[in-house]
Amino acid sequence: MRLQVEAISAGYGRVRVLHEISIAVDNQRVGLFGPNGHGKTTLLRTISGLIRPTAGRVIFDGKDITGRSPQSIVGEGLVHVPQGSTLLPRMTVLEALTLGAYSRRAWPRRRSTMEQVFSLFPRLAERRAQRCNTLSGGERQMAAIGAGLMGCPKLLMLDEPTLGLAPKLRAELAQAIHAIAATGVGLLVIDQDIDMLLGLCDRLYLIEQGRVALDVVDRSAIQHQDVLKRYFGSAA
Amino acid sequence: MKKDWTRIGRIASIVVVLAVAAVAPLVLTGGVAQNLAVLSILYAVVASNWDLTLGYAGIFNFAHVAFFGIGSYVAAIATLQFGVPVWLDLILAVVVVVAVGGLVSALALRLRGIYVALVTFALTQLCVALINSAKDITGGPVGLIGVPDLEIRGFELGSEPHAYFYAAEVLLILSTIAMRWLATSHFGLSLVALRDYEAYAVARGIPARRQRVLAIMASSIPTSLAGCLYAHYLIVASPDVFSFSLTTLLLSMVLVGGAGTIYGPIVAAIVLTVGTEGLHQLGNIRYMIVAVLIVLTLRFLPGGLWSLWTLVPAIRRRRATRVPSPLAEEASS
Amino acid sequence: MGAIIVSGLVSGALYALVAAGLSLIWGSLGVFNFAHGVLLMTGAYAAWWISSPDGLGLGLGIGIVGALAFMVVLGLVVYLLLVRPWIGKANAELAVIMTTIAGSIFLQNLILEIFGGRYKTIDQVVTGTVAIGGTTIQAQNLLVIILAPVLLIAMWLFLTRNRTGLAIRAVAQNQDAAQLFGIGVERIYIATFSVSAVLAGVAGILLGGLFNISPDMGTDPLLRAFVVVVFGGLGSLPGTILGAYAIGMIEAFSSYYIGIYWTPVVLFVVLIGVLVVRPTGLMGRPT
Repeated sequence: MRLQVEAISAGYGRVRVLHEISIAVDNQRVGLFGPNGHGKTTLLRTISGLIRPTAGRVIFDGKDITGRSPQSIVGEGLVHVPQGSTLLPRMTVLEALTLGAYSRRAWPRRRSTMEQVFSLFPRLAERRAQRCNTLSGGERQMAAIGAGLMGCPKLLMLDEPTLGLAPKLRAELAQAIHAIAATGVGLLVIDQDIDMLLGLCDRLYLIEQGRVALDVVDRSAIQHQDVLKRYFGSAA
Repeated sequence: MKKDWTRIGRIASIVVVLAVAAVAPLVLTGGVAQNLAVLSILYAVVASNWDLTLGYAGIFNFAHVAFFGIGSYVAAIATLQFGVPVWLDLILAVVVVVAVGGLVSALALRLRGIYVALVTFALTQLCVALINSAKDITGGPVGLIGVPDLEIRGFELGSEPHAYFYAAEVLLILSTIAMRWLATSHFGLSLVALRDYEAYAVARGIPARRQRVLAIMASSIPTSLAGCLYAHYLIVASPDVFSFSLTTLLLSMVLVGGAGTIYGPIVAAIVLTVGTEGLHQLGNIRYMIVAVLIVLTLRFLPGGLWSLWTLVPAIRRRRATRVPSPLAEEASS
Repeated sequence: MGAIIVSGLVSGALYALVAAGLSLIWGSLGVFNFAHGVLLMTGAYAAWWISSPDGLGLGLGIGIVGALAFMVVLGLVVYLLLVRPWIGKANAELAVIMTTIAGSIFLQNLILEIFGGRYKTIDQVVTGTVAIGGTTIQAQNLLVIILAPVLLIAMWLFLTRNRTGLAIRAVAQNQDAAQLFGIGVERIYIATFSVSAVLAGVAGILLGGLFNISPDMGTDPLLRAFVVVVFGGLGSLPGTILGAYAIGMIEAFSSYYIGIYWTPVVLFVVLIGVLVVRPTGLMGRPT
């Protein structure tokens, strides 16, 4: 079991967002979906150490990482690529990618990792000297994922990588994410694009009101339509 | 019933304050004690007025000490260099200081946050530079000596030991009434709203820059008068009034007393003036003590000494609806 | 004319060192260090005490190295005592202005207590004069003119190439993202303060070689740095450096043609002029 979230509760100040939520990511690709504002992003922020949970445990690679600092969690190889990703507006792509390898584990390997990132996202190689705030939406997303990869993750957590992108770019990114998964990196992906998640993931969780509302373990066991119905039906 | 007690308490405290004000000059007859009393009262005026802009309005205004200094210099220059009769120089000082305060704050408040602090700090330094460069009029680094006494129908205030004491008290009482009235008025509430949630306040139609400029101009009136009294009382106007150490002393009065309370800085002004004077033999070490006091207050008592008062449960209940200064934020939450 | 330009370059170089430190801290922590001028002064005193026969008498080389090492520690202490408790609080900006003012009062009076108010002199790093194109320059002035840009370029390389330097900029731009890269924000804050304190210390030692050292020697450079950072915009290093040289030059020409007493007035007028036209400084970003 690579990542195990056991009955985590967390929130902001007095507002509790997550209610004893449990998920598991094995050597596989796991998707999170569900309506906005129901705790998907908060869950990732809690796993990566930005938010301290009020109850529950997070186990990664057999180690209890609950309440540890983000940098020590990154050091374990659990990397979180946040949403929106105007990552580092006044840095060049090259600088942002270099910083992605900040952790002690990834720093010595940064040159070879960067070559891999450039071969995955050739567009980033072209734009390497450009400032991140001059990139297009798709390129920013690539830079963010690329910087995440620079940390040599064992498990990569992506928060809405296709948010706001045109269908063509979305397909391009989905393909890149597939390629990342093929290298053996574990994935935990939040996205609103159910089709993409269904095509990518072995397991899906529907998150509603800070709880797991539906756990789809075997995707052949459930029809696409059912998921959509459940999703939109309950969101409405 | 409860309301009656509040009113009785208020009337009682007013009576006590007035009684103390009336009696104090008769009791404190020693030259040193009188001198200290006059200075601490004038500092109390300056600190409590500074609190309106720094505490209530949350403006990073560091020009306040300059208003005090300019007030003292206008009094000295007008009477000594241009023969302006005494009392008229007070009006002149108010006009000049309000004009300078309005102009500089209108420009400085185009900026935000830290930049306001830097520009207003620079104004204070500009005053020193101007005094040094226009030696013929200002007396340069030495200052101007021989500022004439204030007089009422031939009665010179300096000839009677209690007179400046009472004059300073009158100024403090009037200024405090005015500041409290302003702070709790519609205008004061708009300042607090701008301080705590500017975007919302502006959206509700409060003109941010105008209110803040007006706050600075209002607070500069009693401050400039305090500067005039200071010059007439000490018979000199010296560039020391613009010094960094006086700025810090007055700032510590606002902070240690409690920003956003008006009363707190008054109490702190008296305590700190008397305290630093009492520790005279310690020399520079007393400034180090004041510095430590500032940091400790900000760290452990962000509401200042005055917030200790509100720890009394009955008072806290009564004041629950009031909005404390941002520096008091942690204390209240 | 040559002398005026030299004087402008020297002032500009010193202001750039001072203001760059302020700008660096502002950029990554969002607070303003009013104790920066006192740090400069303390650096000069540390170098004097270690090097001078009236102190430890270990010579200028050890004095400089020792003083800069001391600045690293002092930067850490200032951060821990006067800045850290307020970071992340809603009132951090105002509170840190106050605490660092208090810190500067404390340090200045401490130095006054220990060493007294009498002027002291540090040896010049280089002595003698150099003639360039008909203008005779004190060697120490030339050193300042050359050393400051070298240091600023070194700092720029540090911020764009070095792991810690890149992290300082990352924390300044997006704290959450920086943490998710595995950057320990606390350590970066400490590094930022130490770098800034070292820059102040270098300025102090250079200034101490040109003039006397005294407990209030940091006040004027700090006040000039205020003008510089408003002029050039805080948080933008190129803006700060450009601003520093511009202010140095304006000051030099104004001192010569208008008079030394009127120069602060000229600077203030220039400052107000800039603010009327561009409220975020010449190179600053709107917040």
